[in-house]
Amino acid sequence: MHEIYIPSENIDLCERLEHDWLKNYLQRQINAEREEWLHRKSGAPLPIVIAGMPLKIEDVKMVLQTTIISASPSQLIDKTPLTDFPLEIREVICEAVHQAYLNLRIIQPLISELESSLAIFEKAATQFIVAWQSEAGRSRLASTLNGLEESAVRLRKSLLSLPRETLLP
Amino acid sequence: MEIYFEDVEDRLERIVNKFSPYELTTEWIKLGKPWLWVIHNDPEILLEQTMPFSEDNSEEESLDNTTAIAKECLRRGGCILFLSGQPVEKEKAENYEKKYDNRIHCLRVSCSSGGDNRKIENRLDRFLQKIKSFNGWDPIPWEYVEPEKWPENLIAIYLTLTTLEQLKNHAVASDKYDRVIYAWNEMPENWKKQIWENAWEEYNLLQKRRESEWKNAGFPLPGSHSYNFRIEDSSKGLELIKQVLLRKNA
Repeated sequence: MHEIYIPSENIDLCERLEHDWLKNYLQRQINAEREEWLHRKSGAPLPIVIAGMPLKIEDVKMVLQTTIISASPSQLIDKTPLTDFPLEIREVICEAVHQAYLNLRIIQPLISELESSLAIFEKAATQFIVAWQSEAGRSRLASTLNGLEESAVRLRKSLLSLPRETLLP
Repeated sequence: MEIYFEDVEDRLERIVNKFSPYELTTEWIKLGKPWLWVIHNDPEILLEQTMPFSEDNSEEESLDNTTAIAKECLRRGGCILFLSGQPVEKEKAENYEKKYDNRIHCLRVSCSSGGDNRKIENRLDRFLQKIKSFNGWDPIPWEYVEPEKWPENLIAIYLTLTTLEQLKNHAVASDKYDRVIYAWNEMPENWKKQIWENAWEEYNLLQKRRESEWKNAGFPLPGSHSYNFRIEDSSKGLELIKQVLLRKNA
């Protein structure tokens, strides 16, 4: 055995958001469509990638809510023979190992960083949408698009830094 | 077997380059030798098209057509490892692999650098090391590129010991501490025996048989007369497993 790899529970959602949405969809669309967006016609509808963003933001919020638990070793109890213990004992073990994991203080700063990145991204997205819909001039739209792009990079970085594996205390 | 890559991230390209520093060219393909292709793509996109490889095409045209090259790779006894940031679903991957007689494999874990770990690089390195001396049509041990099964029995002991350590320093939790010990000791003998023996095997796979350390930690070896926890040794035991798990988990 060369290594121990115990994937955390929300790895799929995390990868989808970081890789499929932010990297391969949003960032690529911004790069490819930038000029077209900046020269939009009056009354043009929001680009689909932007219009669909609220749902993706909800997904990131889901990651925020679940990461603490999904990277916790308490999730492993029922994947080991300890699952045969009575429920009451499994709960004691669950609580104790979760506390030991929180005591590491590894996950908390990562969650905080994701929270901040998401707040900045949401704000930047709103500013871009407002600029688009209020028919703001090209330079105003360009500056909000740059803000959106920068905040997407930061959000992606925060998602990338989340553990893909269970953290062992 | 030669090894080439297509469109993989730099950090993985560096690994593949250790084994084959050359680009895949039409001229090389025409030599008819088999090769392993490590490619960042989806088998559905790459293999389910119909274009055949043409040796008459100019190099630029041919190399643009990755589908044709992939098919040529398989026709010559080569094989393809598909990587993706979002791995193909297990069932779908198994269907593709079966369809192509296990000459292709979809990596089951994401190849992204998320979580800042280097495990995928190490696994790819080990796999390529193994496969470089293979010939065309040799069966490919794809399991070498996938994560190994984690040691669930050793982890079960580790979780129990972590719990005991957490609880033993809290006077108010002493009742819980006793209940965990009691619950373990009251489990059927066969259950405890199985866990300890499996944990010992898993430990050996990680540590290469260090029997004295295992015994010093107060852990029972196969054939012991008791598989209960020796309470006085829980800290030593936890330290021992922790060292192994954290080193291998790094």
